[in-house]
Amino acid sequence: MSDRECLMLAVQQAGFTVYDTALFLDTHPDNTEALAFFENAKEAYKKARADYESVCGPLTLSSAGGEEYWDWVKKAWPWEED
Amino acid sequence: MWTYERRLQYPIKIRNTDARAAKIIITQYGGPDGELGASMRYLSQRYSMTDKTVAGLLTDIGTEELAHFEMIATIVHQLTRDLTIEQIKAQGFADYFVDHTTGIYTLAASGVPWTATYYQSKGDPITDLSEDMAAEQKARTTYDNILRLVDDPDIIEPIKFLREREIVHYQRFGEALRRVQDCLPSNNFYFKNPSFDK
Repeated sequence: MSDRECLMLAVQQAGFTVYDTALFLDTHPDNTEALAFFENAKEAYKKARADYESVCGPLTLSSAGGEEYWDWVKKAWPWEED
Repeated sequence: MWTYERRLQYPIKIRNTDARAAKIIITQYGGPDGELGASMRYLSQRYSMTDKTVAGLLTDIGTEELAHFEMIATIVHQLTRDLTIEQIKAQGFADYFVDHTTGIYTLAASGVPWTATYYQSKGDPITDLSEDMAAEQKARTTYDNILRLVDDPDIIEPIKFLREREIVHYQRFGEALRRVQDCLPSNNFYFKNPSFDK
């Protein structure tokens, strides 16, 4: 597995934890155990995203940019590999 | 408002072309129990939900279905992008190819294009959530059938992930239906539309 694939897998795993917990919270909004779990999951997701973006480029437009070339369109799209 | 994330929900890396598998799997892109219909169903049904938590669930599952829509397209794209014209003819892909080349289009395995008649938005929370639970089971059955028809582990892994999501969504919709039922007034228990007949 390439470095990019490793960093992406970490984002996918942390992102999945956040999303699946969110669905559970939608139908259990007063579950304090799930709320605490969500807080931790959110932090892990934030870190995984920052790790990925510092090496591989933006995941969302809010972190896109560039000095001489628009980095949003520089790397392979999700349906392609590098 | 939506924001695009430049990633797939689950990793997909398919090494071998297989037009036959692509023609089967595309049914989850634009078929009767596919991801496009699922997303449109949930995102459209949100507006008549009486319970804020259920509207939230429909928003979040409807959004996840778009990520699944992208996963299915990615599988079909990776299965077909390197096809030669000989493989297209030999693997029964000529009928798709003549209209779409190797582009991605929303249709069922039978070749029928996607239609909004695949889902309903009835404006009644009980009716809609009952449809949603059935829809998740129909999609789960479709994924089970796909798993019976393909043998490449590169395809099987993401399809298994999508199948499991149908089960989780079914569970969440079951909880949502129970929440709506628990709030029904005693004079309107499966009798009138709790969203319209207030």
